[in-house]
Amino acid sequence: MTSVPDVAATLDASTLVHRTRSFRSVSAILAIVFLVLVALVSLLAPLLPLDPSSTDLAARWQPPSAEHWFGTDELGRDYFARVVYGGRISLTVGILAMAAATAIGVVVGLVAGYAGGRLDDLLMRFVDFLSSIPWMVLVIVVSVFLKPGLWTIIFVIGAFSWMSTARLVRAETLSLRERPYVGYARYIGVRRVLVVGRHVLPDAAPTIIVAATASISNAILTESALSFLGLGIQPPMASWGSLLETAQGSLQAAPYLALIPGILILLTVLSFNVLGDALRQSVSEGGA
Amino acid sequence: MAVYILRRLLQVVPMLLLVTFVVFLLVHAAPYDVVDSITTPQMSDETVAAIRERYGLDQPLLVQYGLWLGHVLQGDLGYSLASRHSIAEELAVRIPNTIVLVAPAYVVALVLAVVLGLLAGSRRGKLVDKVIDGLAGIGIATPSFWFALLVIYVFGYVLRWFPIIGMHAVGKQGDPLDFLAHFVMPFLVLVVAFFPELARYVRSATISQLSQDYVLVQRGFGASGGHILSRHVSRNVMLPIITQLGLALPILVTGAIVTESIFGWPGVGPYFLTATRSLDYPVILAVLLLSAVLVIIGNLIADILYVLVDPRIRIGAGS
Repeated sequence: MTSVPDVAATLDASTLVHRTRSFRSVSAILAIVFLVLVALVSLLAPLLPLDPSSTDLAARWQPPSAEHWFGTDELGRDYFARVVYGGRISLTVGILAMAAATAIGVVVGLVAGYAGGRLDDLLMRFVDFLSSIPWMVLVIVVSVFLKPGLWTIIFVIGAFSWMSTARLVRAETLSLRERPYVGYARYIGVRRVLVVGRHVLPDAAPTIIVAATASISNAILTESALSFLGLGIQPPMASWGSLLETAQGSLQAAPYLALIPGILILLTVLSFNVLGDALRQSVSEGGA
Repeated sequence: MAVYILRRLLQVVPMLLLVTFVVFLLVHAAPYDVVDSITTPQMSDETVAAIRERYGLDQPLLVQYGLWLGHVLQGDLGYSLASRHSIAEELAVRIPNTIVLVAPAYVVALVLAVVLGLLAGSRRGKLVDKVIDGLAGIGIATPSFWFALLVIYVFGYVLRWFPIIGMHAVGKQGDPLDFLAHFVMPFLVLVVAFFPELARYVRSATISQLSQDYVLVQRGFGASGGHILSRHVSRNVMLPIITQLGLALPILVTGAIVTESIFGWPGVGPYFLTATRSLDYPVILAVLLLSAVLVIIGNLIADILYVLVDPRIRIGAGS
């Protein structure tokens, strides 16, 4: 069976895996560096000499310069400071909404996967239904019934983006519950909550971390779209999305106001996705 | 197979009842109702009470649900609180506008995704794959409304190639060239919005199909890579894609809410967003109802297409 082309194919495959891996690790390192940088600047923003709120009507719509790195906005505020403080809000929403979505997703996934039977069917049907309704419609309808603001947007995104995490955790739980040590724990009469908490949950952790990375990206994109539509973060607070909403009005006069927050959203989301891919890669290799 | 389709159809009925009931409860929970939209402050309390009675709002909840469902089934979705126009009539104008924009964009994105996805998947790890997969990755991370702003800036303001707002210039309602000029930018934005996820899907489906035994057998018999790809792999990749068409049904109506509103395209999107800003509950809930119903019907179509396309399931369901 081992013909010459087969050997060539195997050789090719191994160098290919090697090359792909180094390509991936370079981009993963770049992603981590970028995310650490954004996180540090966001965390340390109050300590930096940045003032996002002082206006200077004489210096409106100044293009980027040495004094104002990202130029100034329609009220003459320093756009670099606005973008840094906007990033704080965008990242806060991303992280808290991810935490909420992950918590709901993990609980639903564990319960559905471990309990099985009718409860599993019921929960998964509900997940299917929720995830098939266009999220835009769902999120907008709910945000209409609530007062717009930081906590509403975190709640809304968290409440409607846990479904894929639940699916992943359920699939993982289904396979974990058949492991001998889980069966043994059940056999010696350990309570179900403890079996799940001590034996299933820790082993599902890698899957959960990968799902959480994806859900941060998702939350940041959702927040930016909602804020852009005026349904999310309200002034005087600003996020990258709401900065873009304002920038839309002066697109012709000051395109850089629209360019900068968008690039930052793109790079942040891309970095989280690259990081997630790298984590998934190492999880699947470690598990094999 | 007829039995299978019939059984699936019967399953849809309780789902639709459930969805309509949830939407009805939301309408009911809303602080205003239909009567508030047709009464005026000059009317006496008796008149208002009489109107309430005529609309059945003094009836128990379930009876009201029955009445409401009756209206919805007759195509009567109620009236907008803001404009007092019939919602059904407004949607009858706006839905075709949305479909004209979204359907071509989705089809083009799908065709591009199938071609490039197959190409990338079959050259896994090569430069072509890295470029296509990288572009898809960047596309997924790009907020589509931001991309729309860039397109407007470059093609609308700097190059001045296309008009930046609306579907027709004033007085050019039937002019196809004028329509095309308005169509290009939102179309481009939607293609870019739909393409990346579809392409990633086709790529990973191709990769998993190429590792199947039948590919090995074909190789063993000396079939060329191109032959395997075009005759065997592509067919198996197309299977789930065809069923995706059913699932894409709701996109036809609500897939371009943000893009439509940026370009002032007179579709469902701006109607829905204006309604959310003015808390126009009947309109919001009509759109919610519409998209939920489309989701259910889309799932049904997907299941039926699956049976029609894949003989294995057809045989399995028959036995």
